[in-house]
Order: sequence, then C-alpha cells, then structure tokens
Amino acid sequence: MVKTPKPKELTENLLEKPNLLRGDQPKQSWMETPVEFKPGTYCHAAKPKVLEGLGFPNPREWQPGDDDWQLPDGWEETILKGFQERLKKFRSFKLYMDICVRCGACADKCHFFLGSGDPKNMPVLRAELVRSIYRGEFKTAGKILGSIAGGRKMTIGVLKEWFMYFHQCTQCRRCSVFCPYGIDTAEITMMAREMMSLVGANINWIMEPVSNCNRTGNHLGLQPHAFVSSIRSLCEDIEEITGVSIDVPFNKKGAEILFITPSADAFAMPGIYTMMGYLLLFKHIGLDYTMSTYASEGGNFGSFTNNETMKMLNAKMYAEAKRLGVKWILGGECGHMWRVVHQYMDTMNGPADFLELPKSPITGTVFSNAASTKMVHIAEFTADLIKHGKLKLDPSRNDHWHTTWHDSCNTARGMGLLEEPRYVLQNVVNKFHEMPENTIREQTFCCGSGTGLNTDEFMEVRMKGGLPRANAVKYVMEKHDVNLLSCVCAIDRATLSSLVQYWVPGMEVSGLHELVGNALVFEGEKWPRAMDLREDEPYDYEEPEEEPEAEAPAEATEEGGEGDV
Amino acid sequence: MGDSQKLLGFMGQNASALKKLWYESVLATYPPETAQLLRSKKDQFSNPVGYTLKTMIEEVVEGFLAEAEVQELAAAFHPLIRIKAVQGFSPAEAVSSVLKLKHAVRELLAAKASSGSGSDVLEELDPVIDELMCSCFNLYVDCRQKLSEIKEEELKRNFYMLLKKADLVEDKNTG
Ligand code: SF4
Ligand code: SF4
Repeated sequence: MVKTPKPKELTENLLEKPNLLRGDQPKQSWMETPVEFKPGTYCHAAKPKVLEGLGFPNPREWQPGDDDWQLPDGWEETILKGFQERLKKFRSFKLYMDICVRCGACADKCHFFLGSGDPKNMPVLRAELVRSIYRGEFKTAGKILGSIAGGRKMTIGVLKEWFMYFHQCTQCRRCSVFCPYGIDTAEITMMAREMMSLVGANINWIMEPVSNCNRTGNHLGLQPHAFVSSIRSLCEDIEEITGVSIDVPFNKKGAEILFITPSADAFAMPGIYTMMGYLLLFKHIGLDYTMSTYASEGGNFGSFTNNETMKMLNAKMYAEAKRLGVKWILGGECGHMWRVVHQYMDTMNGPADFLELPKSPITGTVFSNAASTKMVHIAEFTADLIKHGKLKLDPSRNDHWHTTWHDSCNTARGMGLLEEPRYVLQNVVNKFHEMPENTIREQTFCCGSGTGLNTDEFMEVRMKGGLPRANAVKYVMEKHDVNLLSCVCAIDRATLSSLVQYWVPGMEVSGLHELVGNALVFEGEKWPRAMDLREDEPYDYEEPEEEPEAEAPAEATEEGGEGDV
Repeated sequence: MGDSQKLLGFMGQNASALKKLWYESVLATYPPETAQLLRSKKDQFSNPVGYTLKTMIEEVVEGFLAEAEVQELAAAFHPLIRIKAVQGFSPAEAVSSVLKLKHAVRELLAAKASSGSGSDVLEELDPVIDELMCSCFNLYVDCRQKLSEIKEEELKRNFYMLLKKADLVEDKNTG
C-alpha cells in the first residue's frame, strides 16, 4: 500500500527539505552552484565563419550546452592576462573591483533578478562572479585564503558562469542608480564580455550583425540596392496613404545633414512606420539631408563585444559624413547608437572637428551639447521644431492611441534624454499617461532584450527579464486604457512588441516619429485619410464615389502642438 | 462551489494562518536569498513576483470565502503560472503552487486536531483542487505555446520588408 505521509512529515517535507515537486533549488552557496545550459536559457554560439571574418580568436563549431567548449591550451592565462591589461587600462574597472561594500542596495534593482528570482542576477553577485577571480588570482589574501576571502580561481566552471550571467545583463545601468558608490555593473559586464571574446566565447546574435555591419553597412548584411529599394517602397506607401510624394536622397554629396538610423527602421515592423514619420518630417520642413547606403546602420553591436569593434563601427558613420561633406549628423531613434555616441565616441574617434557645430537650418538653434560629436538626436531636433512653431500638427489624428512612454535605458539613463521625447509626444497625441514613477525616467525598467540578447532562442529569459517593464505597462493599460507603448529605440520597438504579446496582450508598440508622421498636416494632402501609417483604419472615412475632388485641407491645424511652449 | 460548508467554515476561521502558510510554502520554491527579497518589498512595481504571489493568495482565499466559481479561482492563479512558465519551472513544479494550498489546509487541520471534521473539509476541498490543477496545467501549456508563436511572429516582423518583397507575407495595403 502506498504510505501516506503524516501531516507533520508533510510539513517538514514542505517547509524544510528541498523537494523537486516544489521546484526547490539545492541549498548550497551560489559559488558552488554550477550553471546548467537548458534550451531557452542561452544564446547560440558565434559561427566560426563569422569570427574568422572578423579576425576574432578561436573560431569553431560549438554550443554553450557542450561539455567541451574546445578552448585553446592556456586559455586561463589568456583571460587572466586580459584581465590585468583591463585593470590597468580602465580605471573604472579597477575601482569597481575594489570598492563594493556589499551593502545590497543594488540587489533587487535588476530586471533579470526581479523576473527570474535567480540570485546570480543580483547585480552585486553578478559583479562578484568577476570580482571573486580578481581576489583569487590577483590579491594576496584571496590567493592564500581562497574562498574564505571571497576568492576563486579561473576555471571552466567560472567561464561558463560568466557566459550565462554576463549574457543576462543588458548593461542597462539601473543598478548603478541605486549604488551609493556609483558602481556601474554594466561596465563590469562589458569587461567580462571582452575577456570572453579573447577565448572565443561569443554569441552569434552579436557577432553576425557585427560582421554584416562591417561588410555591408548594416546588421542584416543587405546591400545598398536592397536598402534603397526598401526605403523607396516605404515612400510609395506614404504616398498611397497621405498623398504626399517623397524622394529620399541617398549618398548625396554636399547635403547639409547626414541622417543615420538603425536599419530596423528600414526593414522591420514596427520600425518602418517610424521611418515613414522621419521622411514625412523632413519633407514637411524641406530639410537638405541625405541617407547613406554605407552608413546604413546606426546600431553598433560592436559595443556588446569589445571596445575596438565598437570603435570600428562608430568610425564608419564619421568616415561617411566626411566623404559626403555634410555639416553634421542627425541620428534617428536608436538606443545603443546613442550610448556609444554620447559616452564613448569622443574618446574613441572624437572630436569630429571636420564637421560643423550642429545648427538647425529651420530654427537656427545651435546644439552646443553636440559640440564634440556633431551628432544630434532626432527627438531634440523635433522638439526644437515644435517649440519654434515650425510644424503643423493635428494630434487628433492619433486619437485612436492612448499612449504611455517607455524610457529606453540607453537614451534615458545613458544620456539623460527624458524631457524632449515627452515634449514631442505630448504635442502629437492627445492621450498620454505615465507609468508609475519608480518604473520610468532614471529608474526605467529595461525591455530585457538589449545588448544583443534580442534573439529568438533566448525568448524565455527575455520574457523574465522584461517582466518588471511589462508589469508597469499592464498597470496603465488596466487603469487608464493605454493601448500604445511608445519609445525611441529600435531594439525596444522590436522586443517590447514580443514582450507585450506575452504579458500584456492587446498592447501595441510604436516609435515616436510614427506618431509625428500621423499628426503632420501637409498642403494638398489626402484628408480625411483611409488609413494611418500602419495602414490601419482608425479614421472616419468613406470611400469617395467618383474621382475625389475632396482633397480638403485639414481643419484642425490650429489645434496643433504649437501652443503651450 | 456546491455544498462546501465545512470547508468554508474552516477557511473563514483560519484565513490569515492559511494565507501565511501557503505564501511561505510557495516562496520556498525560490532560493533563500530571493525569497527574502520577495518577502520584504511590498511595492507592486519593485517586486512584481512577490506582489503577484501575495495578490493571488489573497484573491484565492477570499474567493473561496465568497463562494466564487472555480473558474474565477483559477483565473486568480493564472498570473503566477504565467510567471512560473518562464522561470524554468517544469509544469509539475509550476502547478504545485495549487497543491500547496491543500498541504497548507491539511497542516492547519492537523494543528487544530479537531478529529472528524478534517476529512470532511478535505473531501470538500479535493474536487476544487483537482479542477484548479487542471486549469493551471492548461495555462502552463498555453504559455509555452505562446512563446513559440511569439518567436515566429518576431522573426516575421524583423524581416518584414524583405518577406514582403518576396511575397512571403501579406501586404497590409493590398492583402
Ligand atoms: S546593468 Fe542592468 S541588467 Fe546589468 S546588472 Fe545592472 S540592472 Fe541588471
Ligand atoms: S549597491 Fe554598490 S556597493 Fe552596494 S552591493 Fe551594490 S555594487 Fe556593491
């Protein structure tokens, strides 16, 4: 007969002993818990061809789940040598290794920890994965006392742990906001990824875009004609929808401004609607600009690999600006492109003295904040246009949207772009609601898929990491009927779309300039329109019976966003 | 929920002890460092998992007391199952959150040692637990299925213009 446990036994069993039925984890210290690579919890390894092409070490066929990672002889020394070089080269890294007092203020601030419940995703423990090696290999106490002094030796187990957990950090810097010492775990992750690169522990979703970008100028590896044809096809859609005809200049020498944006805006949904918005805006103000088929990517996956690769990809944008002889660069809605430009460009490739101090040709505003990089964010540019009353806007054209704003980590925490996008948004829509205070602005929650982790095989971890963000989105949907999550980042646009599908069904995601594009009022345009830029049909529109004579000028122009400046 | 007077009476008298016991037993499915943080932070946005768990327990126990339909009780479980479905828990581990309610009731009954009435309470509880388990199991499977759909749709979105050009997706304009 089956023995039924007595209630007392059951309780003991329930509350004290680890139990598989309960999903208990073994109760040993985090340092002794080895990582397990289950499908859905890791990104695929970089393909050998990709690494070869870029001249990266140790190209081979392998996967993180393999027992044997096929590392070169002496790989431990390679990492330790790289570690020491970086301690010398980057003072912040050395500082972060030394000064953490383990106060725990950062422990529950990481979206990956909050979503996964895995202690190694606490920023303090994530950093400890590297710091313990620093102590164990380079510090006297750690070398002698080992784990008693919190030190460990570099082993394959540690490397696997690094691979797992430094690919579960999106370098979002939320933890650093709460650290009394300003320790930036994002930079520790950057160092760990650099060191892993030294022995060929890279992921394909980062390395392939790097390689493509290096070869053809964009992440998908599309050649110039494909890039041009995609944007031209979007222009056809714009004309069909709005009646406005647009001819985009490509590689035009002597244009005043070079416009660079993530290639996802040219190819991916919903980025293409944001691209339509930019193009309508440039047409509206008669901007003298050009796009480039060589600098056809604003994104910089190099920054998820190592500083040399980041520098190489960033340099390409400036080389193109020089070749075309433009005065300055206008940058589209991207996250990490701006992190690189704002924080690293000047040290790596700057100052861009061959360009001019950016000045808006429409308003005369000088963007002195971009004095060194000569690159202006489109949200700043558009906010300035609106502030000077240069745009005819009818926000009621976005009345089918009740919006909220997601501060993308790189633009919000990374460069302080908090007000400008909100100002633009509130001038092009009538309905807007903020998410709760501790989930926006400097405290914004990451999409959970940044830094090259936005690959489909990693979906399970991405859903966990994005839970805190989605949780706040769900709240405004339920409380205020919000139906559109807007943002200025291409990775966000792509990945939040998936995130809300899981956690907040019914929510849509858009870029900022898609909404600008909808709201812009043109002379001689089609209005009312059958469709918005998404080709959805939110407007009161009836198909005219005969030849449409009714190209009535818009009525609502005065109500546009010129007022409360 | 049919005739469940004994169960209702018992739950009514022991609601807060039951909530506590059940809450702790689900928390114990996380590593201790995590459980501590899940327990300590009250804010809904700084601690989504802890908050979801607390809300679920509150809603389920109160739902029992208000004689809610089983479907409503199941709906209260769903947010937690949706979370567990991506946290690396197996289906059995995820739906065991339901079982823990039963364990908590049994434990409390044993502590009260009110011989006789205990088996009546459990008898009334069992069919509800069975239905809740089935509903949560279904949801777990739906969630995993959803992940596959999301992957597929994301790929289509990422390559939308290329697929459109190759006539591999429906053009919203013409299609
Ligand atoms: S930088 Fe972001 S992802 Fe990385 S540990 Fe800090 S909070 Fe987590
Ligand atoms: S908040 Fe700063 S000092 Fe405190 S544990 Fe985290 S990294 Fe260390």
